[in-house]
Amino acid sequence: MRKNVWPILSILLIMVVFVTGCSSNDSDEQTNTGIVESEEGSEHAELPPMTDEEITLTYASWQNHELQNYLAEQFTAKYPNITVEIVALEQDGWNDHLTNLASTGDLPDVFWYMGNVDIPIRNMWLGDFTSYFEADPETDQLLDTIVDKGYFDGDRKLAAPTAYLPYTIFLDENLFTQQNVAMPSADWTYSEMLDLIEEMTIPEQGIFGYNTFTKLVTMAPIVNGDSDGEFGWDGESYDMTGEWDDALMKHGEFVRNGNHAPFYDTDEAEAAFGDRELWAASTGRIAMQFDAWWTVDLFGTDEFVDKGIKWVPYVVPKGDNAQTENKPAFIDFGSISAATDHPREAYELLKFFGWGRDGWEAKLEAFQTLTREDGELVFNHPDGLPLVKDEDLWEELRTLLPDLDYYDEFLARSKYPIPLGGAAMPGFQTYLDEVYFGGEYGDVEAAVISGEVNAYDISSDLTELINQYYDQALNELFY
Amino acid sequence: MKMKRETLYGYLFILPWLIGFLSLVLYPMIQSFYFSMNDMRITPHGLQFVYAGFNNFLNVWLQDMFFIQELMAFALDTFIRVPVIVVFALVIAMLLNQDVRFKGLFRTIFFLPVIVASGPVISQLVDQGATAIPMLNQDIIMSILNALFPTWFAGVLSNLFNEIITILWYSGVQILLFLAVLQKIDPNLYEAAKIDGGSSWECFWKITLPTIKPLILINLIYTLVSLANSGQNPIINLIYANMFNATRGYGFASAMAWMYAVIIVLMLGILLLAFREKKVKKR
Repeated sequence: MRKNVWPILSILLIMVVFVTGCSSNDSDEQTNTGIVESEEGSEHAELPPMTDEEITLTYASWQNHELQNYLAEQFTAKYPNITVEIVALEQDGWNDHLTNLASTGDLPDVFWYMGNVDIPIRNMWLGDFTSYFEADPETDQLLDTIVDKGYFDGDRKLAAPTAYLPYTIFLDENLFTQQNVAMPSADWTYSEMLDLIEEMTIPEQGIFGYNTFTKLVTMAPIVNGDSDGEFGWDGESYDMTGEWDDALMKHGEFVRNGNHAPFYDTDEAEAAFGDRELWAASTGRIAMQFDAWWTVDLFGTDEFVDKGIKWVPYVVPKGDNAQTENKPAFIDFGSISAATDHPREAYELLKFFGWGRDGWEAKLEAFQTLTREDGELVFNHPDGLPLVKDEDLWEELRTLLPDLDYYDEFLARSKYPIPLGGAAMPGFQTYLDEVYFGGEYGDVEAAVISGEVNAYDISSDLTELINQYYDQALNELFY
Repeated sequence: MKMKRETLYGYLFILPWLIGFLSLVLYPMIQSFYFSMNDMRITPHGLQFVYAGFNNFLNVWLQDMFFIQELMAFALDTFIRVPVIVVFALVIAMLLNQDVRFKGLFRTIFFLPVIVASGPVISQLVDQGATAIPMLNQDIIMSILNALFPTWFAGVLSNLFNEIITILWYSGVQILLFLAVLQKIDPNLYEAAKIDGGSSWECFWKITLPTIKPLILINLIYTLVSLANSGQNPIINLIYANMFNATRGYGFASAMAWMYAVIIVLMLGILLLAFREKKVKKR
């Protein structure tokens, strides 16, 4: 008799579990992901409330230290129960320092990773904040080209852009005037830029068309091919044929023909400038400097003004047949720790220091008010551009820049940044290390520039390899 | 069996070393070997291991193109540098063994770099180009070397000149060891040789060199090991870089370190074979 009871009880238990599992709780809208459905039952979810408990969150980024402290204070002012503890790490070897912290169980609740996303993914540092990100109304305000970045496996939001510094092409207005060459329109195109490089190369006067920190090979696939990443990334795969090889061959040709300034610390630099260690951009004999946003500050200093150099910023030109306004940009990424005890609050902190509106209001305030001990302003110009579309933030930021039309034009065309490979794409940095800069051809770019290798001959192979690295990274990183 | 008092004291004296050896050498070695047999991830929840067998060791040779390249460069560098350092140390030791004024000061000067020149200091000096002899024109040296030797060998010799001061800075301990043995040589031997008409040159080859031969081997081993462990050694930097490499990590880096250790042991073995004391057969 007793033996017969067990099968009946088991069946009953299974039925209870089944019924419970299928039932929904109409009265309570809280789902198991912590997202609260809105009353209308629409797609818009709401973020779960923040904790009222006294908690401490740790934060690590390589932002300006004074700015970090200021933002931490502002965050605590907004959420008085949350204390933010800044973890100071040296920027040099950043990911190594994070690895050491992770090994002792001290990975900060919120952290930025540097350059290579493979490291945090492989070591499972990245917390999944998909539910918060997708439920957050502020997400709608993010710049369109960066919303989907950080979904490394396509489903989970594991990282988000936290700082945006656009590629910037500086033109020496005084040199253009001196040579009686008209400054290009703010809507200049890629081919116009190449033509200008040739036009402004005047060997008899020792003038060079351009000097590079940022590269044509990074720009061309994004602006000409409307790519969503470096090396012809279209959201699913890379294609280095067409734009990448064209750009690299063109650059090689420019270097060999003397359109490009001699490289730093070479005999050619010594012959051209009389000092092999003089930065070409400070010689007054370079028409265009391919650089980045952070150099705006340096180019405004007396060193350049006194030499009669007037560097003005241009965005990377649009592709001749481009459908988009995509531009390459230095975009830093951050995430919340997979081991944080307070993921909801950590997400809020990540957003505040990164793209959040409140955080950006605090940053704009900091750019204008933060001073050093000697009374000098910490920031002479804004450290980065907003990651959101809020026009009022962009307008306020504009007031902090020099009163030149170039800046209006620049900001108006900087709303479609495309992050570079390593931080945004799994496998990319490993590919660079093992193939692109350290593979069969050594440094591929150097080999093409020197004429040893024809980029058209290798672009298909490189495309195959980079796609393999991407696939391998996805397979391996999410084991 | 009762332990003798002297034995006990002996163990007590070496106890600090034993503790240090067990905790700072043996334990990390075992740990490193365990890492090398695993694919290791440093997660915020703790270390995670996936058993990889000897795959990491295989991958060191098959996947890392820099390892073999750097290993060859290291072997060649060592082949050149070790004799230079040891010969320099011997020459300086013999000079410091002379009866000259301020002998103590000179000895201090030559030993000082051993204490002062830690890894970061050496790195800074190399970076600032302070390790080349300023009077030597490196370009001229390089062009002469290129004319005389194949490029790969000329490069190695050129590096030697570029970092000659650093290399000589590695000689402090070796000088000390040579000095110790030189002072042990009985002066009567030299005196007898002189009476028999032996020149200084002959005294060096017939008396000094045979006497200090065991110390030459010790100094060669010491120099090889110190070069192998140097922070300037690109293989050490390669191992470090792999530790933090996304797709390789500690497991791969540990396997590389073990393979490197095996290579060093082999090189030490070759040195031992080349400089071992040959037993004289009894008639």
